[in-house]
Amino acid sequence: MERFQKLLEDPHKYAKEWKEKTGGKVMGYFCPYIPEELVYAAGALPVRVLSEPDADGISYRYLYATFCPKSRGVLAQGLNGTYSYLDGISHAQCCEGMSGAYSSWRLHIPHEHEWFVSMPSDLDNPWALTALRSEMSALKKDLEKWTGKTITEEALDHAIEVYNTSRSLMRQVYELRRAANPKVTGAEAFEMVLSSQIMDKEEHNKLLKDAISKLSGREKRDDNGVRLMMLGSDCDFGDATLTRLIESMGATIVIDRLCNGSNYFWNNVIPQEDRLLAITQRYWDKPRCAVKDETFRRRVVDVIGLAIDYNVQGVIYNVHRFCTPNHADRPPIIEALKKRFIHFHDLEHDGTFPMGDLQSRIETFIDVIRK
Amino acid sequence: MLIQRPEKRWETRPLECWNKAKELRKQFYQKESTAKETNTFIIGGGDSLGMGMMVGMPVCHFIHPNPLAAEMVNASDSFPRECRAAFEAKGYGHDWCGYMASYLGSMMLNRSFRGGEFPRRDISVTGNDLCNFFFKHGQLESEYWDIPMHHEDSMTYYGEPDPERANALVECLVAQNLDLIEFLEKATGKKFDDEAYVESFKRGRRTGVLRAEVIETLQNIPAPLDEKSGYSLFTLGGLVGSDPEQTEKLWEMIRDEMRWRAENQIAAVATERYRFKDGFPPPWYCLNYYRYMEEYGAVCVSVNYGGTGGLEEQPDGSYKLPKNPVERFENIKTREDAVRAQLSGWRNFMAGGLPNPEGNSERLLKWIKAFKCDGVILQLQRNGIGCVDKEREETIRMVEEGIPVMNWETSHAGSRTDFDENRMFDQLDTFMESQGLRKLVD
Repeated sequence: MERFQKLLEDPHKYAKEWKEKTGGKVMGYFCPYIPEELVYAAGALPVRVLSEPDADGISYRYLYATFCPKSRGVLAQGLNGTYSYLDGISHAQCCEGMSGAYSSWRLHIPHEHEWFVSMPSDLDNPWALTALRSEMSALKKDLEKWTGKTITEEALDHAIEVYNTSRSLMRQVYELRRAANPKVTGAEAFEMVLSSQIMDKEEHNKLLKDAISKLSGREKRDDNGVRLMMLGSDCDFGDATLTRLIESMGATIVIDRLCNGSNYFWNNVIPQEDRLLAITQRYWDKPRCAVKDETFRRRVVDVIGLAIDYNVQGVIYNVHRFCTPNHADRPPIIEALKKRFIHFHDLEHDGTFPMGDLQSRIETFIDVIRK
Repeated sequence: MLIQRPEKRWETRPLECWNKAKELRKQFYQKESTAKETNTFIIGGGDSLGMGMMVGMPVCHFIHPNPLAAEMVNASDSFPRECRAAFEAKGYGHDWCGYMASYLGSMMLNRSFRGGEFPRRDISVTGNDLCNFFFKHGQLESEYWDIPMHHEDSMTYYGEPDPERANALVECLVAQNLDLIEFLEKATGKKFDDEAYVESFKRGRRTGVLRAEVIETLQNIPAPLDEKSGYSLFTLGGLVGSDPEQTEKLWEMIRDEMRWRAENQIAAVATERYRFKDGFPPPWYCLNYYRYMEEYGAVCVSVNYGGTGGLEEQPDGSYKLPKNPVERFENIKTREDAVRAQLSGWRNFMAGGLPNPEGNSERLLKWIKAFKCDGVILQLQRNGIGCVDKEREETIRMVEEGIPVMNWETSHAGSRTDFDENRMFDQLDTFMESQGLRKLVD
């Protein structure tokens, strides 16, 4: 387990070494709607650009203060040179905040290559599926031009297999969390999924397999306390910190529906003759995030289903200030949870994680559930 | 130089078209309040439709939240505050776009700012317009009334202009618009009138050309129309789908009046000596900001929001109408032809690389030159980032080009609660003084 934690202690080390070792190109991406399989099949390493709080406020020159802390934190990482090893950057249309960060990155941070995927917002719209399929073709062409490598069907099949394996392994880890007194903590699981976003999946899969075999031999803990679910905005390293804090206070995060958590790996590519369509369909069918749930409230149904499935007692809605889509979804989600007598805590913050404040809020929430 | 007196005073006159415009707007909103008696379906949203589609489906009346909320916050300080409180009491954040919070709050209170109940919506039709609030408002509206919803996804991309990509995304929009017509037929049980739609579409294009001709006159010194007045006119035939025939006549009237004013040097602001460009709509509760600027002889002659309405850049940097702008649409015969033509602007927008912030900034620089602006004022809207996502980048670009630019913070369409008018006027004073200008004293 420590290996995953160690990877996240210096999240850039792996990609830098990979680049040196292989001579390949590293493509940073801002939103997990980027079809990583295509990047991987082109021989490049897709790496998630992770946010850290913009403590010095260097992003304010480019992004107005009402951009969420995550988008400002991402841009700040670029501006301070943390991601200078990236050869390319990519983004898929999601929220306005991250699109703003991407726009400013394009303009002010040197990079060799860039690509933007026009990801539809209405995923119940059949014509948008066709449009997204054509976006995949455009991306494939672009990657081939950039890397000088033809993306063959064999390469695509291999990438799909590697990514599907990673997803299946992560599902196995999450399955362990469904049990009473799960063997794996939320923090451990989160470190596994986050580290998978910054390294070659094939290599990460080996680590995962090894970890899973060790976990099955691990003793169940006596009492994991209150069973909680985490929803809301992505806070990347902050999510790991918050999860550890919560789990130190008599609770376990047994499930999440975060873009950098379960949402990242939940569904596989279902192979079909048209590989690009198969990949398109996978991203189309992902559990809905707040941005992509525009019509039928599939997210609410998904969240409630998970809460029941994982026997959740309380939900922490961990949301950034100015995270518009998550703020918009909050009332219907609260309403649905209330109907099922599931406790709810609205943990709005500015991304800086003031530990004392968070601790007292979470402690109270856990006490309420215990009573 | 503590006191400045106007060096030149232009002749100015009230707008003759003003009352006619007010009358048309009134008629439009009256239709909303009498919808029940006239068996009219009120459609919430419909921002991407254009007025042609309403004529094809005369049983529908489209009400877009933006102009309604703008009027609401301009008419009263207290009512939008109540709306916002009602909206936030339901759990929605204070950072929601002011248009949406005011509109949805009014719906939740079941009170119209004109008095009486908030007219029930029968169908919700939304487009995301790349703004996170637009798509979410449709969800809320349709759930609140338990009514059918149609949603349109306007996909676009950043990066190198690519006609092939733009085409695929536009085709997606064409399909969605055609689907919308069928959806409206199902929802209302009425047949869509293709012939009326096509004719009305052409009328809409003619109206658009008239609007562009009006914008063209704003390049004149002195400007015959200031943007504060322009804001009251430019939504007519667009977001405010007033009677198409009357709207065309109104725009003819406005165009003729503006041309006459430009030829005869009739100014919107008698003391015009400083021309500025505005960003997105101002705080609707503080339109006197424009009047305040007039005390310096400053007039707003161009806004990002209104664009240049189909004008094309000329080799000398000015903007003029393209050749035969109306004839381009005369061959349109079918519903599909009209939908495609309607979306041609979106195609050009993408194919021209304009979704990119740098494209936006470069376009802004050209407008500043064409409209002979001395400075730019770009608002940073506190509520909703859809209207500010490029403002900081534009500001940086203006500074690089040595163009005076001022940013100021506001909630443009929300309630006045968070707004400090005196502070803003102080900031305007500082900015104008940095331009070497003081308030004019006669």
